[in-house]
Amino acid sequence: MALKFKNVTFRYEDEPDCIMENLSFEIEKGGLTSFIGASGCGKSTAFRLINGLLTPQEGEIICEEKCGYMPQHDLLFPWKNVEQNVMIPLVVQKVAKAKRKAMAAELISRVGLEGCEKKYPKELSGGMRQRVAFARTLSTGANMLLLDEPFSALDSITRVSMQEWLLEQWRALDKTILLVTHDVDEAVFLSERILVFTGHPVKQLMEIPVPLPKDRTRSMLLRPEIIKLKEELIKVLRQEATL
Amino acid sequence: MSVKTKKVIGGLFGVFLLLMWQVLSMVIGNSFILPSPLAVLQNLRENSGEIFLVHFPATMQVVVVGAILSIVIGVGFALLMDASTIIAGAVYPILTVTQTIPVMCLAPVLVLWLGYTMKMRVLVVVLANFFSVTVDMYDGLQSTDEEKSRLLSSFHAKRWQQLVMLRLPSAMPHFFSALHVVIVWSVVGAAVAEWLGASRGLGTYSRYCLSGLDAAGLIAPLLVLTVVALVLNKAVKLIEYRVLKWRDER
Ligand SMILES: Nc1ncnc2c1ncn2[C@@H]1O[C@H](COP(=O)(O)OP(=O)(O)OP(=O)(O)O)[C@@H](O)[C@H]1O
Ligand SMILES: [Mg+2]
Repeated sequence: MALKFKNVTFRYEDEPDCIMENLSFEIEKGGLTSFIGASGCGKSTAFRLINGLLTPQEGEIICEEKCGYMPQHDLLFPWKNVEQNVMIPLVVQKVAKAKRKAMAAELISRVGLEGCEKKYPKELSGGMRQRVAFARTLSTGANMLLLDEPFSALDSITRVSMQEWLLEQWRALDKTILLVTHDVDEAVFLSERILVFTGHPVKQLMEIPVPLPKDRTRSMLLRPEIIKLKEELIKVLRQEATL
Repeated sequence: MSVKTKKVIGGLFGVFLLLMWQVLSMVIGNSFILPSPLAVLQNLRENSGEIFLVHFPATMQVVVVGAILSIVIGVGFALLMDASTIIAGAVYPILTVTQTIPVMCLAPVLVLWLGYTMKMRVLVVVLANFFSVTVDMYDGLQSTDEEKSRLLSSFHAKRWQQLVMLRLPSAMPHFFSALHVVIVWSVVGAAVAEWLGASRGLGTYSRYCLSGLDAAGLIAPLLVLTVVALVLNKAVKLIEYRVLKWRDER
């Protein structure tokens, strides 16, 4: 077990309504799980809870892995260049300079940004910025990656290749990945398991397993059972949106 | 309008004003009342030895020491306020109120306490500056993006790391705008303090010329002070441009 929510109730301090109430769920080690749900239902909040940036009023969150949080907006530091941004977690952890430079170089090439080391965020496209943010998340050395809509800012072509890239990384790296997404295709293509956030407050997550193997290809999305699953998912989400 | 056109227009207008000044002084025809710019330059050249070797260094000493102290003290206060909401709550309202007091008018009181000393002059400069430095810098530190701060926390950054890696760089644009103000008011403050009384300095020289009804001599050191402020400001602009080159101007 990588993560366990036990009867968690959470409410922002100055808000009257709870975001989640008596919520329980579990995440297996090594899995790739998607959180999907209407805007404002509390997906990002769940990530902040997992991270320990917020604490629940009631209940317990047991997280055994080290978490690396990739925020919804890239949140690159504009005064740092690509290399320095990727190194932020390493600097915080006081990794020696030569070592962190080597690690950053490897991560930057892993996200396909060789040659951009010295560029500032303002010189990068939205997609490139997101990849820098991804490399920065990896540089935390975390075993559990919390990706909050990591690809929503990317153009559709980059997005598709980044999804495939993420799958590759996941298969190679033996990390637990939690992914927030608005995109049904993305959720189905990437995850082993989809957790749907429903209701205000969220009381339970609807679980949808994706019947695809780990080494999947995009063409498998055309299988009849997958198309049916997607349609169901869209139906649930649409119900939620009209509520 | 392009930057270049703006500069040309500004320059032309400056030349126009100088010409008007020259013409006006020629019409008045009395150098006690309005000396011409040429007369001022003439005076500057005749007394250049005294002005640049004796008075200019004395003034610059006050300007530089005063400006550095203003920044150190001002930033120090801002950091204290940023570190503790209690200190901020206690100090900030007072700071904003005292900012409205014309500190220059308090300068004579400082003479009473410290006499006509370098200490007094530096203190005038510091008092003229440090409130605005503190307020500017504090606002800068407080404007730090909350989400970025949360991200750093998720990397387990300590408080001092938050300060060094995030809060101080976030406040840099505010710091530089404070710096521009500091330069101008350090020069003004130094001149006023010297005007009150000092053995040497451009302010002293200017006052001395006043007692001799030498209007050109009165203006000449002011001209030097203006140029000093302009040059220092330009220097800060150049540094600012380099340090803040990451800024997204879009
Ligand atoms: N710091 C905060 N203080 C108070 N309320 C907040 C705060 N952050 C978020 N909220 C509220 O909590 C609710 C859930 O927000 P959250 O960001 O978790 O939603 P989300 O599911 O990630 O939405 P989206 O898909 O748009 O990113 C929203 O109604 C939001 O307005
Ligand atoms: Mg969100």
